[in-house]
This record gives sequence, C-alpha cells and structure tokens, in this order.
Amino acid sequence: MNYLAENITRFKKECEFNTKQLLEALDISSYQLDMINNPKSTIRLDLAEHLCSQLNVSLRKLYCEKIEISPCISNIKKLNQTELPEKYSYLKFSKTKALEYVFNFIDKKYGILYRKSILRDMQVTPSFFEDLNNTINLNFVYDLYNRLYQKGCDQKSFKSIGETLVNINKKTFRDNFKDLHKDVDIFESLFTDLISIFERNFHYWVDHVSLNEIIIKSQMKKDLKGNLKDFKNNSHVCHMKTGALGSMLTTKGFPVSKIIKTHCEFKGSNHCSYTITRTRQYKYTKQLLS
Amino acid sequence: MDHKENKISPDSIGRLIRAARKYSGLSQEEACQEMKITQGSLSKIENGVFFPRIDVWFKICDAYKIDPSCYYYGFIDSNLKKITNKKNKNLKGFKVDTKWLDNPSINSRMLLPLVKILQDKSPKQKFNKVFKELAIDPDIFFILEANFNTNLIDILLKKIKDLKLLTSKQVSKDLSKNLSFHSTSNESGIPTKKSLNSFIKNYQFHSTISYFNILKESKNEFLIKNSLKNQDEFTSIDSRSFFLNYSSNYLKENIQLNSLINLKIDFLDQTKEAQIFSLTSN
Repeated sequence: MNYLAENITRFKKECEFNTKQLLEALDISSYQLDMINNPKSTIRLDLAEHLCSQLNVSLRKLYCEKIEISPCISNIKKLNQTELPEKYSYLKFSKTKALEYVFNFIDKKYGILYRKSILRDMQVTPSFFEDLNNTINLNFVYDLYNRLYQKGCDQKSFKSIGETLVNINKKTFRDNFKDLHKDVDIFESLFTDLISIFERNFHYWVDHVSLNEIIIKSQMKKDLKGNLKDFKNNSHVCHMKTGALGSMLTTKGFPVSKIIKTHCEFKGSNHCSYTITRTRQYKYTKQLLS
Repeated sequence: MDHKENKISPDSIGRLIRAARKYSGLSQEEACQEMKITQGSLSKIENGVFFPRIDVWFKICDAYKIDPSCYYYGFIDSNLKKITNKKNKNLKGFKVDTKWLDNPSINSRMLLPLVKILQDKSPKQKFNKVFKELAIDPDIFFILEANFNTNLIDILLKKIKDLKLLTSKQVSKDLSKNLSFHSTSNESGIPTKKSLNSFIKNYQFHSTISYFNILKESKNEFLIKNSLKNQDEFTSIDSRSFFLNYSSNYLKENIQLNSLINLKIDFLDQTKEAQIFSLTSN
C-alpha cells in the first residue's frame, strides 16, 4: 500500500497548515502536490527524495509506513529541540556520547551519507547527536546496532567499537585511586565513571576478584525492565559492552588478556556476567582480595 | 539541506540501477519480465534519460534485492552480499579484465574517489574511453563488495595525472577529502609508533607506489619519510610529487579516521624520489 498521500495529509493536519503553507514548507508546486494526492499517478524518484529530505525520513518509511509526524515538524521548522520518535523518547538513559564512535565507525566504513540514511530511516536528525549530552533510550541503541549487523558487522567489529569508545574517552575516567584501598572499590569507581559518561541503563558490580580473574556482573535497572516497549534485544550490544569493559580496565592499568560473557540477562539469566582474565599482575596492587 | 548537499541525478541513478542489475546477474530482458515494465523504459532509466517513477523504483529494488535508500548513499551494499554471499563471484555481469581481480586487496569504496574525479572532471566520452582502455566496466565501482588489486589504484592515479584533472597540489585536498577508510587495525587514540606501523603495514597500496619510514617520534609528532618504490616509472617531477602527495595524505587521513585524533600534516622536504613530512596531533 502507498502511504505517501496519507503521510503528507497527516503532516499538513498536525502542522495545522493550509495548502499554501504546506507547499511552502515542503518546497513543492501545487502540480506536484496534486500528483502526490492523485491515487492514479506516481511521482518520480527525485521528487520523492526531495520530500524525504524535507521531512528527514527514509523513502521506505514515507512510502510504505505511517511516519511519525512530530520529528518531521521539528526538522522542517528547524527547531533547536529535536523531537524523537515516540519509540526512542522515554526512559532515555543512554547519552549520545556513547554513540559518538559508533557514528564515526559508520562514517569510516560506509560513508556519511549512509549514516544520514540510517538516521532518516529511524526518523532522528543527525544534529541530535551533535550535543554529546543528549539522551536517548535503549531501543535506539539496539535498533542502530541491529542495522549495523544487517550490513555485515560481526562480533569483532562490535567489540572493537566498545574498545575504541572507551579508549577515546579514557581521559574522562578517573585516574587517581589513592583514596581507594580495595580492588573492588577501584573497579566500582570505574563503573561509576562508565555510568556517568555513557549510560544509566545498567547497574555494574564486581562479583569476584583473584590474582588472575575478575568477574563483573551487570543488570538492567529496575525502572527499565519490562517498561521498554518494542525492545528487541540483540547480542551486538553485549559484544560492544565486552569490548568497552576490557578496554576500560586495560587503559587504567589492569591488563586484560581475555574477556568472556558467561551469562546474559537477555537470554534468561538474572544478570549478565563477564569473566575477565588478566595478562599479568596489574600496577595498582593494593589489596588483592576484597 | 540534504537534497542540496546530495543532489541525485538521472545519470548517477541510472548507473547505479545498471550496476545492480548486472550484479544480480539479470539481462535487461529478464529484469523487465520480472518487473513487468518495458525494456525501453528500463533502458532509458539506465542511460540516465529520466528518473524512474517511484513505483518502478520499488519494483527495481525488489527485483535486484537492493535497499530502497541506496540511491541516496550511492552504492550497492551488503544487502546483496547477504543474499549472494559469494565474494567477487557475482561480478560476472561486469566486463572486467581479470588482471584487476587477481590477488584482490582493496574494495571499490577505496577507488570510488578516483573514479569520481575522472567522472566529474572529464567529458563522458573521455571517461568511457579511459575505462575501455583499461578493460573495466566502471559500473562495477558501485558494488561495495567488489575487490580489486592495488595496480588499479596506480593506473587510475596515472590517468588522472595524464589527463591533467588535478595538479599535485590539488591532489592533497581533493583526494584526501573523499578517501574512505581501509585499514584493518583496531588501534585508536593518539597514535603511537606501534599503531602507526600497524597503519602503514595495513596500507595495501603503498607497496606498489611508495613506502613509509618513521624517522622520528615524539609525544605528539611523527616525522615520516615517504619514498617512491620505483622512481623510473615517473617521467616528471610533478608526476612524482603527485604520487607522493597522494600517498602521504592518504596515510594522514587514514590515521586520523582510525584514531579520531585531528592531525596536521606539514611537508618539510622533497627530493626526486622522496618527501619528508610531519604529522602532529592537536
């Protein structure tokens, strides 16, 4: 079914535009609007692309689905406060900073236009990510990662994204542990940093520390669990988190040789569990066992 | 703003569609039967006579199994790969001399900036002639997964140089601006000598054009020598300088992209066969 005419009509209605205002907003002629509204005619790809660009929506969405109107309005009116689609606009505990490198990765691998194309399909304007303190919910993160997976990103790529994300932000992590005397306290101070810099979706804690091994656990926060509509879990974010945790420990002087996810909350466990094996004794030896 | 930044043309859409058809292994006739459109219409669309209507565009995307948004970002990507999963095996639809496909190590995205320069800065006839001489169908560069050997970079650079499409000064800006990422290194953060060596090692093309030596390393600065491998290949000083500028800037851009650190390149010295430059992080 062709939703184009219906989407344009809904846009006009929600903006409370008259026909003249609609033509101005979309920057089209009345002839082109007639073409859009006439069920017997179809528009050309260049006009369709023009509409997509004006509304910041993908062609597939504009033509095959009912689009969300509020993000289109904020795009067309160039509002400073970007409206997110409903799916991404509640329980917003992920900072855009956590996605900064993901977008760089997309730019590198597929190009800037490809990034814009993904965001159009998700109905989020690229400018939303310019402010690294903006927040968005986990639905967006999982959707984005899923799209990367569909484009051929493998486990290694997701792990590498996590590693690099932490690595480029390593200066923002705490560096001085003089006031802390136990490994557990040191690790947990790093988790506090992790949460304050990137996201507040998960709670992290150290379950076990020995000379060779650290076990870190995480759990989705209570107010999120079961309250995220349309939440579709995928393992790609887990791989990214594995890379991030390993990198976080390595950059702060805890050399990691191997990190394995042993339990996953999204596969029926109560929590996620990561077992980290050290390469050698780390430099912040204080009190090995908590 | 987007449509102004990325104005689509019937010609580029036509070439993309033609490339997708060839990649899916269909003849025009077979494709038209599947899409239930006339061969005349498809031919005109492929030749850039007019834009496809939107219903036809969706038929094309269905028939060739391509992302309907690919007209926007301009290449045929992994959606096809997932279906075919045969690297370089579905390139049969493209006439390409196998000499470009032996020991492939670079993908079309790495070559696309060079092809784009040839396309944008030379007349259509000349563009076609260049690729006819090279025995390579230029439509193949729309296929992200198409892989080639490094000799093709050299030859495309030589064509750009011979046709005087860019001067050796312009090459720094114009090429590096469009270069795509092509490194397997996972290093990130401020580059170290180790990571820089890893970038250099991962350079596929430097082995045919030039090679790098790190002369000096300090906290935020590297002094690098870029030497031509075979200077006799290049007839003029300008030609040598063209290749050296290209490869030095390519190194800088790739390190910058991979490390996410802004780098400044300063050319310090140049001889017939080499140039010395510094890379400084901010």
